Amino acid sequence: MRLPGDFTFHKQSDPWLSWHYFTSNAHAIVSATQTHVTLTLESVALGLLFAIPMAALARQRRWLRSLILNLCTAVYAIPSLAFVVAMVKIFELNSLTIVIPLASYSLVILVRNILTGLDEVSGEAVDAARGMGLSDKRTFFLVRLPMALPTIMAGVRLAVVSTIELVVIGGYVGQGGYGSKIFEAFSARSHTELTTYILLTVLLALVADVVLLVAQRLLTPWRRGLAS
Amino acid sequence: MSSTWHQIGTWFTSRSSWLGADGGAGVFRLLYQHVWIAGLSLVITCAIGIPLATLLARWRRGGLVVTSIANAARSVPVVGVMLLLAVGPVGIGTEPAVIALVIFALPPIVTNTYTGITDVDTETTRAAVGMGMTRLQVLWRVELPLAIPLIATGVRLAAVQLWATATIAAIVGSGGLGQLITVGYATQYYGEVYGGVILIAVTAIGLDAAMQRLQTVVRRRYGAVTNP
Repeated sequence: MRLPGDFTFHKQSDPWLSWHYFTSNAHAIVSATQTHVTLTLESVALGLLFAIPMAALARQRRWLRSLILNLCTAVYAIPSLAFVVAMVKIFELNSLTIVIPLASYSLVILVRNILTGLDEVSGEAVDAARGMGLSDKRTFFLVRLPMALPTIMAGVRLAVVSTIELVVIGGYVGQGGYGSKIFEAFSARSHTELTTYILLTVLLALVADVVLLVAQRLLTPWRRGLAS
Repeated sequence: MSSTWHQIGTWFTSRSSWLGADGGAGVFRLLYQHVWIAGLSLVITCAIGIPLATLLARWRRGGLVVTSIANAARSVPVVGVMLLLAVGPVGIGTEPAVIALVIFALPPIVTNTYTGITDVDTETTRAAVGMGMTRLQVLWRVELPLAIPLIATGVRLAAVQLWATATIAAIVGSGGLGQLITVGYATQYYGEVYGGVILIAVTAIGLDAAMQRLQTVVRRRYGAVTNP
């Protein structure tokens, strides 16, 4: 089979790692990073937008709960390449091509964590809120959701870190941030470019993990000192 | 969109898409390749991962090392590694796909086996030692059997992930069901793309359900004492 990168040409030097490549391509690296981060955040934000009502709905009935959880697991089992290419025909060059599959994948982590978080909210706190005359809706947004925040944030953190790796497949349809660069590098057979962007993906995931851990601590000051 | 539906119908009902024509592989051949790639990767991963985790668990030190390496490995983009191996020393074909898939599938198997063995109650192992068992006998006849439910969870997760991710292997020219997507996308024949997407999604979801059932059987047989 003939592949897109199936041609040979001469290159002057193509080491596996090069600091020179890193510094001389700083501009391209920064812009790829911006795209990668934007796609990741858009995907998780869209996922969260759907996950909260889904989790709230799942708490209503036992059968709804297992239905929603099974649905999320089933969607997660769909291979990313298949999902992304299936979206290309519909959204073409719009970033939704990659954002919709990734948001769908994040549901399995987000819904599960939001559910666990909401389940862990103590009945006493909810009773107290009711006793103060809060409506169901206000109890949900003012008591249940904030009390579930640590578990929800842990889910968001996990979702962001795994999405950063998943964005790369978008490069196959020209929507990937680092992924686009990785596929371009494959076509050009550039070792340096490939290793650089693979390492950047791992690095970005590590940075995101640490940043979100700090954010999690800051957002839930009452949990400080407790094991998270 | 209506023409796409028509194309999908044509693709599904045409004989050549199942049996292959003009040197192109049909669904049956691609399915065989897919099973081969995912199956081989699973066997290699188990052959490396389970003994490795057992050693680390016996050594009782690897805890932090195992979890941090597993976490780092999760953020490595599989596509990137596959493409890197393909342009590098390994070349295009099954090898880069299998190597990348093994790296990718190791974390769930290693972490689950490790946790399974270290979670065995120390009183149980002490009792076994008190009965005159050697270290090796304790491992083989007490710790490993008790760890089976968790090892099974790891194998299930790895198998499902491998089946889904083996789709990407088509990009580096090792065939498999993903080739329906790559070839269809390259030739802009969306009947084939969506046909492939449907086949891959259905088999992935089916495998997930089958593995879950199998896991339940294993858990019942070996008495699950630890949480998933």
